[in-house]
Amino acid sequence: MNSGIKKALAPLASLRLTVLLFTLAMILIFVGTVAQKYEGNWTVVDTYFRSLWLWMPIGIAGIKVPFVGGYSLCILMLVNLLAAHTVRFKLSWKRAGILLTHAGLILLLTGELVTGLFAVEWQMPIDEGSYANYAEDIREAEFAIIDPSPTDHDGVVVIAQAMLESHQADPQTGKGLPIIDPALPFEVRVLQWMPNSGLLGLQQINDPALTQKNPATEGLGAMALAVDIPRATGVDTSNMDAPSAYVQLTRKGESLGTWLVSLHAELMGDPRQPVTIDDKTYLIELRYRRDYKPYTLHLIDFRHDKFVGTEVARNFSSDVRLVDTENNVDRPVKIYMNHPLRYRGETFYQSGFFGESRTILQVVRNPGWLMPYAACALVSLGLIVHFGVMLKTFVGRVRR
Amino acid sequence: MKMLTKLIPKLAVLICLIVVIRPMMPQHEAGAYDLDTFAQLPVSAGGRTKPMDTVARNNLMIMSDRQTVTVDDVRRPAIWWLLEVMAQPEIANRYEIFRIDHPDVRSLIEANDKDKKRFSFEHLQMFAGDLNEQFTRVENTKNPNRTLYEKHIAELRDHATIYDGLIWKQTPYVVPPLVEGEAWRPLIEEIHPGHEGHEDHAQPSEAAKRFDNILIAYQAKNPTDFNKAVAEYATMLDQQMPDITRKSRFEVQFNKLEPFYQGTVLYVLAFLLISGSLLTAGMKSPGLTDALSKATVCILIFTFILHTFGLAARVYMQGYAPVTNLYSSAVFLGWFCVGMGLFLEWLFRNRLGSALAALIGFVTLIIAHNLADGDTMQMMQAVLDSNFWLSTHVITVTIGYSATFLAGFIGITYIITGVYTQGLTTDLSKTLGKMMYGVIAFALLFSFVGTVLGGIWADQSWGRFWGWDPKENGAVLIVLMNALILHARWGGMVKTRGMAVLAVFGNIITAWSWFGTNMLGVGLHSYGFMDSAVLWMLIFVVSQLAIMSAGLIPQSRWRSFMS
Repeated sequence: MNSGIKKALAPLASLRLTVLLFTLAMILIFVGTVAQKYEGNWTVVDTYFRSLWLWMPIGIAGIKVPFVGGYSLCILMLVNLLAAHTVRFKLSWKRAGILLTHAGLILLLTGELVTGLFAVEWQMPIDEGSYANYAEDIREAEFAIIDPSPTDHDGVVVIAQAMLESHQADPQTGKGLPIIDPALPFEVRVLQWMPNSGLLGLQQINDPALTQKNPATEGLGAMALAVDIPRATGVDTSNMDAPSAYVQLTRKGESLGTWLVSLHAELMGDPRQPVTIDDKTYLIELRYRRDYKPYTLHLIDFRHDKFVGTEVARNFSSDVRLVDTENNVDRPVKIYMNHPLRYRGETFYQSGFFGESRTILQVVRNPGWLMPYAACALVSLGLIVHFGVMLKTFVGRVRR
Repeated sequence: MKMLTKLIPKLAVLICLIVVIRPMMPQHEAGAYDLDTFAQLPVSAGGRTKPMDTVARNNLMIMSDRQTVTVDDVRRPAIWWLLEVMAQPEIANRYEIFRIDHPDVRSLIEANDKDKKRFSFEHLQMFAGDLNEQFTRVENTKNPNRTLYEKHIAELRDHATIYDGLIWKQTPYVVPPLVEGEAWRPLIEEIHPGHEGHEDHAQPSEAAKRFDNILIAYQAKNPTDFNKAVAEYATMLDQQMPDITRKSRFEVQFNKLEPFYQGTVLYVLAFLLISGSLLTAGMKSPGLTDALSKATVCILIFTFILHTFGLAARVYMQGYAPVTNLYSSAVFLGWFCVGMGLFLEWLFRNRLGSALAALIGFVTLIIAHNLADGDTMQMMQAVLDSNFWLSTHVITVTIGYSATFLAGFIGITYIITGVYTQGLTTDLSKTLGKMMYGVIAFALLFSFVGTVLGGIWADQSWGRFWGWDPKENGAVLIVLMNALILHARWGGMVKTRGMAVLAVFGNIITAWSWFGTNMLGVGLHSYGFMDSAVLWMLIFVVSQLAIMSAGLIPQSRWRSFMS
């Protein structure tokens, strides 16, 4: 190794830097923990741990100071670690443990990075006796126009949330580009997009100014008014966003009517509204973004037991049948706490339930899920080797 | 003198034996009623099958903060009280068992006698109107926002509800599942006083009838019938559910022995003896010093075995790995520290390991005692119900906590001895440094492995390796703290003194991670907490900071270095 490079790397490789980084990490984690008392878990994670830097409150008079975020610390620790090993690399029994430990740590940190960047979480609700061949992304919606006329399938056109947002009409001028799809005999104009909304029954509103503003002319919108509300915080799934939108369907610039579509309708179990054009009926709905799978899960039985005489949950379990015609798979699977199903790169966890007969599975695709396992094994081995060697000399010396 | 010093260790062993055997002796005058057999009857409460004795002790402890009840100046065991409550509530309602401390709650029930702490159900009933109004009112404020008064009102309401369940025989579930497909159920479901033969009610099962006969015989003040009914019922259960009755009998013995209570006493004794040994060290009587230290080790080994037995018994009775809640984590943490202390004693033979073992053993058992509220062997809710992970992740993390605390206490020893006494010789300083270093290395290994195992468990149960939950963050703080100390030592940034100061700071971090994160009341790990603990936590943190600042006084001013 060139001694010039070594010299240049020396400050980056210093143990003083290591100790400084540990101290900063401890402060960041401590403040990030206390912050969870006041803010939602995801907000905290994004501000403190998945960020390059942040304004950190010091707890006095609302004063905030700039501080390094989790990503920066992670990167700095990796640099420090790699520099240290470049400068001081030596293969010996005494160093073997440290090498293994640090290799494991690198794997652990990269694993977290991979998870942070690539892991996706979905939900899959299934009713007893029914099946599901798609999972839902409960953090994103899509607008679906369904043509139920073909006998063997439904024709579906889906407009993604991002498209709805970007085509939203200007609130002042009312102008916006229409969304055009060749499969549809009409254009879609997004009059208003609400990332999170509340629904008010029109009959309960006493304020005529408010009812007059109602842009909807048909369906759900004739009964209820959607209002913009701030987006939800927190990790709790019962506290999630319910977007709504006012969409106008037009043909050659001429309005066919304005509809209110809302996730609230989906949550209430009656999401689809009919739209009849030239004697042909389409169904429209706003729903969670769906990811269709090349296989199906049939829910045979959902069980939810409690300990005798208490409200403490003893177990939740879903007996499902996994059917994948492509791979000639048809087998029963039991999914329960701590026993997920792993299939085709995805993992299905028993996450929740609704009523007595609907299970909610959490579907996770995380390409880095094995990395912490390997990292844990490496670090444990490394520490055992290192401290084992140490203990041997230590006990030997003391006992002599 | 020589004779005396030889006798000391033997005396210590004798004391240990007495401490253990005494509670196993019959303590209460054996009355005409066979309460012992009644106490052993298995029932189900809180989802767990346990003996009547445990139900009686736990409920009385919850309401009255005691395991006995005093009626007409006679102290009676919990099981007697429970039997009275179930068999003749109209009389038992007069027993003073509701402990009420808050002055405003006391004034609500016109408790004018300052020395009186406990009140009868009958007394509370006189103020039922006012109390019920307060009970409803407190519903509107949810827990973290409640004032102290509201918390006490809510507590009283809970106690009254428990009591109500007992007199109406809704809890515990006494009717056993003797037929395939049955579950434990309450007596009230099958025996309906005053409604016998009512067409709506199914015929009571054999077991329910027999149990009811026990209560009827007791109410009729007929010991012969009572003893016969109890014996017959017990024999029936013995035949039909032998495993459960065996466990039940074992638990009654465990309750009598109270291994952790006796352990607390013995750890205090050990600490007094080792302090004596350390104090006499300078007095030129090596015989006495040695004898005291030997006696301490004898007691410690004995108590360690007792402590181990207690943990093992809990595993047998509960069917879970030893750490399932805050209470058991304290018991386990203490146990592990005592074990490590004894190991250090064996390694260094300088009495320090013994002193730390005795002190930490005592403190952790006291903490555990204060954390116990009702049954400390609750069932685990579904997501946590996995013996594999309980015995890997939870145990390793708790061992990590133990070792970090032990290192911190060695740090305290270093600072206190150095600053306030002349005892910190170069040799001792070196030894303490080695001890701390070794223990911290051990702590790093276990806290790291434990934390990552926790992540893997989370990945198995809800697909998220790391969720930045407060308890997870607390665990990673301990890992970072230990790693920081070791790296600072390797880089020569600190020597023994700096390591000691940092190790004491490790105490604060560990206390935060163990308890503090639970005080936040957020996250998946926030299982139950008590308010007074916040105060103790603050006192602990301040004391540790004080010791750290003492450690930061320039060493030239330390008494050990002045001459």
